[in-house]
Amino acid sequence: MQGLESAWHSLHTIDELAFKKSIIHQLPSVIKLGVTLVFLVSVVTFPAEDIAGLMMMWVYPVLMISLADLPWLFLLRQMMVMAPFALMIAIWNPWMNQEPGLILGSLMVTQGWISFASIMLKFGLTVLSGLILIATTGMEGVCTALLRLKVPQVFVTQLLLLHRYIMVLMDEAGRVVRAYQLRAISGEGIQYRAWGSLLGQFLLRTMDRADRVYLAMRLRGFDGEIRLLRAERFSSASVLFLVGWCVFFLLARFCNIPYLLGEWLTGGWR
Amino acid sequence: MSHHLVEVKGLKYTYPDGNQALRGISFRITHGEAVGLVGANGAGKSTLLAHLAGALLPQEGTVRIGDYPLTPKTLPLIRKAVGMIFQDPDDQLFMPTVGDDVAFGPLNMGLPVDEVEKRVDEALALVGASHLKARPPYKLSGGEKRAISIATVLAMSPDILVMDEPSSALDPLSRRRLIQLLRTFKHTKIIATHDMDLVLDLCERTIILYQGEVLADGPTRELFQDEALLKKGHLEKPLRLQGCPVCGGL
Repeated sequence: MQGLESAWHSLHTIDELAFKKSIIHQLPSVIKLGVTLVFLVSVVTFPAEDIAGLMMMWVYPVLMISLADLPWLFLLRQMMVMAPFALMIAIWNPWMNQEPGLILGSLMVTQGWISFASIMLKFGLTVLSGLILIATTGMEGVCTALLRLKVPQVFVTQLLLLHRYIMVLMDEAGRVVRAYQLRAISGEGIQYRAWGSLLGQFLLRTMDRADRVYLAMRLRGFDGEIRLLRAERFSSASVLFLVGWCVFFLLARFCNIPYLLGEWLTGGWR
Repeated sequence: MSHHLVEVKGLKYTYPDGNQALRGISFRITHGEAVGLVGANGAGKSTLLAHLAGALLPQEGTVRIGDYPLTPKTLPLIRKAVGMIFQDPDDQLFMPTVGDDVAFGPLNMGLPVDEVEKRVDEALALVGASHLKARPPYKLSGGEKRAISIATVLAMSPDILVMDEPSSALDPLSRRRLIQLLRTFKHTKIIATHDMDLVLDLCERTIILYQGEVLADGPTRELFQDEALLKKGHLEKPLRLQGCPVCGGL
């Protein structure tokens, strides 16, 4: 129950963050979605051994979180919820690949450990950028942007309704679980024998709810297309934001910025 | 003004599981009338409302809304004329923000954006919820959700308002506000409810349903005084018409 409630509060908090009025929040949603997509592609295509290059990409979340005045700790906690999945994928690499990759003084780091670090860094960057996008744009903003980018209506509708009803379904699940727990003597979670009927109950309730929502939509003229009332204007600052970040991501991806910086600085010292 | 007319003749409906929900219902509601639809659980209220809103089609008998009989071809016209307010506002408020939700119907009607925005603002102002326009629906209280669900329907300028248990799950003050709000509407109103006092407040006429048939149809005050009739329909007098629990007097 507590797990459900805390997930519910987290969703609420992310939604509330989207109502802030920072300069990042005021940018058009298409621009923010575009920057996020370019960022994701850049991060995902980084070679596994380029840890220094990946570290440069942290400039984006750090700057965005500061400019948008988002709560650091909260976002990091949400990021950590997904960490076990990345960990399960990355944890085998140090055992699978024990070739020497890097020698730091007397310490030899295997290629497996380097790719482990790379996967974890990529995981952190991608999840955090998604969270930043939602926390600065809101789900309806993201959906508006997706529609503008000509993503098929059916996907956008699914996303909108899923986001709207996840709260209602969590309420419903909470009620089913509470009803069970009030009559469960042991109080040690839900017995495996009850899982089937609880899930069945939940499924039936969900289907009933879906029927009613669909009826409400049809009665108000729904014809398969969701129309959102949003007018966003592109200012020159927002275009500069998009171009600036894209140039930075491409530079970070294809040039060794830490190396160049180091060379420039040491050259400058001479 | 015939478009405000609701006429039901010999309406029968049987669900696929064999449950005969409506067994030949007939009535006629004219322009601007406010009619309470009361009856025990399973009396057929929800099935009847589903027909009036064009969610179900008659298996036998006819439903006529204004100038149009209810048929698959006239459904868009019927749905434009009738605004249905659901029992659970969460079923009706499915868009990310209140403003989007109120705009949903007018946008689907193909109205230009300026007109949609005007209608959204007017509908929200009418229910006293202009300040909630940018809020997500799940953040609202029960009373606010109810007001918004009414605004979503008003924005489509319907001629007839059909309401399913509008006062359920509302606290007493929100319920009183709802009654005051509904009283200001000049639409034809059909209100299905177990809240007998609400019917007494809002509806000059009441239809009592019992096992899929019309048990009585007449002036609300007259019907609600007939204890034998109410008992047969599994109903009770509204609290206001019952004696004082202390002295027994009215």
